[in-house]
Amino acid sequence: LSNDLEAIVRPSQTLDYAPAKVFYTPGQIGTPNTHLMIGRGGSGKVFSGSYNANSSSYMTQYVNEKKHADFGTAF
Amino acid sequence: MVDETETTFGSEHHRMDEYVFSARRILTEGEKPKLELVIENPRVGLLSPLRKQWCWFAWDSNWGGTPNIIPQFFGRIVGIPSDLQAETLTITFIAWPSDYVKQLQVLAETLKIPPFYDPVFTDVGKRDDPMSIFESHSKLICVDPVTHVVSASDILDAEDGNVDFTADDHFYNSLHVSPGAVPKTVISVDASVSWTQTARGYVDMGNNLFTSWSGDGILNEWPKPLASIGSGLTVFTALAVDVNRTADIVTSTFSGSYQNQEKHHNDGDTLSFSFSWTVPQIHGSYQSKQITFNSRTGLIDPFAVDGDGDPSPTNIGASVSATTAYVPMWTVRTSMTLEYQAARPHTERIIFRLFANVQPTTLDPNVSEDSETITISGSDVGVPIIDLLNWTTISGTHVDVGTVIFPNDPQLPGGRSAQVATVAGTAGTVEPDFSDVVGEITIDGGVTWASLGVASPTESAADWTGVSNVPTGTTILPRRPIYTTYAAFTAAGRLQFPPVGTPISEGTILQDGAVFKVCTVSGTVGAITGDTATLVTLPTLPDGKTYFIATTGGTTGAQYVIPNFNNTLHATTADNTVVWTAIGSGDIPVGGTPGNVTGSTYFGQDRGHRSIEHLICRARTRLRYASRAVTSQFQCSYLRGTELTLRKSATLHDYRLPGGLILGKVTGIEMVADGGTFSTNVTIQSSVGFGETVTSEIGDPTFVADGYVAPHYQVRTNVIVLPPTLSDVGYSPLVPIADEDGIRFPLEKNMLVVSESFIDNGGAVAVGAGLEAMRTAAVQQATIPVTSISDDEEKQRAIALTQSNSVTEQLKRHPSWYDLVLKPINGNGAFNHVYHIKCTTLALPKMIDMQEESTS
Repeated sequence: LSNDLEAIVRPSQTLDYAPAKVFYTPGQIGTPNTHLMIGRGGSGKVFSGSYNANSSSYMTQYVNEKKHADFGTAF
Repeated sequence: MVDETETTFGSEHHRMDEYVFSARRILTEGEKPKLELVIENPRVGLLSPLRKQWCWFAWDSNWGGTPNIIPQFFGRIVGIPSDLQAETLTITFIAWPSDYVKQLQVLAETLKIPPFYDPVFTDVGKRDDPMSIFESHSKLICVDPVTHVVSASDILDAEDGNVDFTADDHFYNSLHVSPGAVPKTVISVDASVSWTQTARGYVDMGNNLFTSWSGDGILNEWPKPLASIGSGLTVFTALAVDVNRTADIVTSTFSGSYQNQEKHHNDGDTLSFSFSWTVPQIHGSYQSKQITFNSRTGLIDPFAVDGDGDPSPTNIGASVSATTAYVPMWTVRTSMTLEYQAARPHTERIIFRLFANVQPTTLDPNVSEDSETITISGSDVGVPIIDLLNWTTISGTHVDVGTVIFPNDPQLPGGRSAQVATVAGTAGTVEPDFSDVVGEITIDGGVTWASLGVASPTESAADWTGVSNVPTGTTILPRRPIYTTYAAFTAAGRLQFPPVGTPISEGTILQDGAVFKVCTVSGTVGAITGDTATLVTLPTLPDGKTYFIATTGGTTGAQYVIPNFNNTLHATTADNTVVWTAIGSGDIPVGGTPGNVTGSTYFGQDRGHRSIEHLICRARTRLRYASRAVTSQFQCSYLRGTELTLRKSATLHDYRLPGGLILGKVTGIEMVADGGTFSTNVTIQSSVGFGETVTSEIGDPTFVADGYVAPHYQVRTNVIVLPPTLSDVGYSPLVPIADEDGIRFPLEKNMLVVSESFIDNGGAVAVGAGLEAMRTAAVQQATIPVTSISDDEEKQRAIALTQSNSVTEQLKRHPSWYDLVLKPINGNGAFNHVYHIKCTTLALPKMIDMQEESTS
């Protein structure tokens, strides 16, 4: 915590000291950040539903005469 | 001539064994006293073992009166003189006590005090070397010509006082005052230390609750335990729970039927009804869309006729059918704990210049020999410092187990092998022949030493390992392993339904109540059916800072089963056939314990300030030595010469000198008795400083007024801190900066995470579009007429195009994900800091004022 506060209130050091500098090791490359993207491959899930309904009703079976038969042409 | 053992001068020595023609007793700073005698050639072998080779030399200061015999020299002959055939011989004696090395070593031990001594900037093989110890003291070795006491005398400050010489005390023409080398005015110091910041532990990345239309991706891709996810980071525990069990949604079918059981019916009475409803059992929110719908209205017409007019009664039942697509929203709860193993190389470098405030002695601009640069690399400050002693230091004294020594003479066999005491006792007084063979024993008085081999003593001890052969004398530092609790480790498995065991690998340590358990055979733990892994109870774990030495060599115990090390000093711990003895804790300069060296700065902390002060002392020593720019020689009486020693200064009063006097540290005393003439040639060297002092300053507040914040938040300028015991130099301590990546230990999530978010690229809209595409495809399937083969192909193309916009495809095009960017723990390689610190000028004594006029 104290270091965080110091970073805020003392971004640079006082004149008594030269600000510390970073010197890099020749040829050394810093490691990049790790970037995680978790879940990009998700595709969801689809479900199917259905509804079917049928009904039947009563109907009286009447005896219906057919028309008179046509026995052909008149003589 | 006497024996070596006649170290006390008494009346029995009031005699003259050789006829002395002339004598010169020479005391030169930094050298052993010498005596040159011109004697009548005795015509015998001077170095014959049958002859006495030591001599007492004394002077009667009251010749002719009551004798006042003053002993002036006790020493040994050093060699066969030249011109052996001559009637007179010049033989040289040296005051070289037999215990000189021991005395010097004892003296050096008293000088191993901060800030003058700092093992960090002393090579591990020379940490008890007197010459190395003297390097940062402005002192030289001084041997008393009579008592043979070896002491250290400062090059400017006279420990034994001052002797005044008036103009009447020295011969007028003998005085010579001359400037010597141009005094150095500045020493530049460039010092660096390195260490590896190490730490191990766990970071709780917290819990998350994600709601996503494509949450199956989070479930599937959530990191698994032991997976490496960056430099220095591995997954320790990870859990992703499908809260609504969306992956396991079942589709249920409900159906029903009705049969009219009445005996008499009227037309239109429903005789039967049946339905079937298939629907997924989704918990939580979802989107749905009707894909197809077909219905048929019932029709009864008993009197219907066909096209010929014949009766054709019609009874068509009513029906309805529909299909619907459902897309559930996923709800995923996650947790993750990361294990970090940091190994971050750090280098810190400080650069400063120490100026000497000296009077000018030359105006020649071409003179460049007024500066010097000290470039020095310190030891690895991330490993414990070994207190390595010379054998001489412990000779004749009690030695504890674990004491590490270095034989005095590296030229002898075994002389390059560090030795460690495996049996305590009192060491002998004659150095034994040590062995170069690792583990080989040497008896030295009551002490038993084990050889550590010819390799340079390492400053890093190995960790304990099981089933290992260790020779006697092996030093280890059992590290404290990382562990987690049994409950935390098995939480992921226990939260599932039904609970399952958590896989555990060999060597994993779990804390279970008051004890620890280590896995020796991998398997699972935490299942309600019992553990399949084998766990062995460990009563305690090593504290990570106590060293142990194998006082009995052998083979260590089972792998992973760390012995119950007893950390009490000199207590023993049995480990299969090995017996370990605790030899105490190591001091890691940068702080911490091995494996847990979390310091991010060295020079910015108290221990580092000690090193800075030590480096200042190194520069100070050279400047003080070089400040003696004026050398004066004069001649006085023999009697006055007896008052002088190399531990005194002399003040010479002479009107011809600037200011009428000169003060100097005595650096040479040559007492001459020749041909009836007795005189003393004196050499003194004078510092050309200004005689100021430096005082410490608390500095001026620049941040806020004093008292407004705690002192450690205050910022000050012009702070001056004096190294302990010194009042001639000060420095402004540096304020360290944090590592650039903001990572400190113990690691917390906020230090590690660069960004964390859940990114939703319009998942809800994508699902809606996908469902609409499904519906459209179904409509196309049902409605696009096909009257030819080409029509059929066109229809299929249209449907395929529509289906390519299905829910799955839409969600792949509009992915949602948990986005986490983490800093690397290791491998950044940028933790190299350079600090420039500010020193005051070095105040030096003013022993002569070169700008004064003579007093004549």
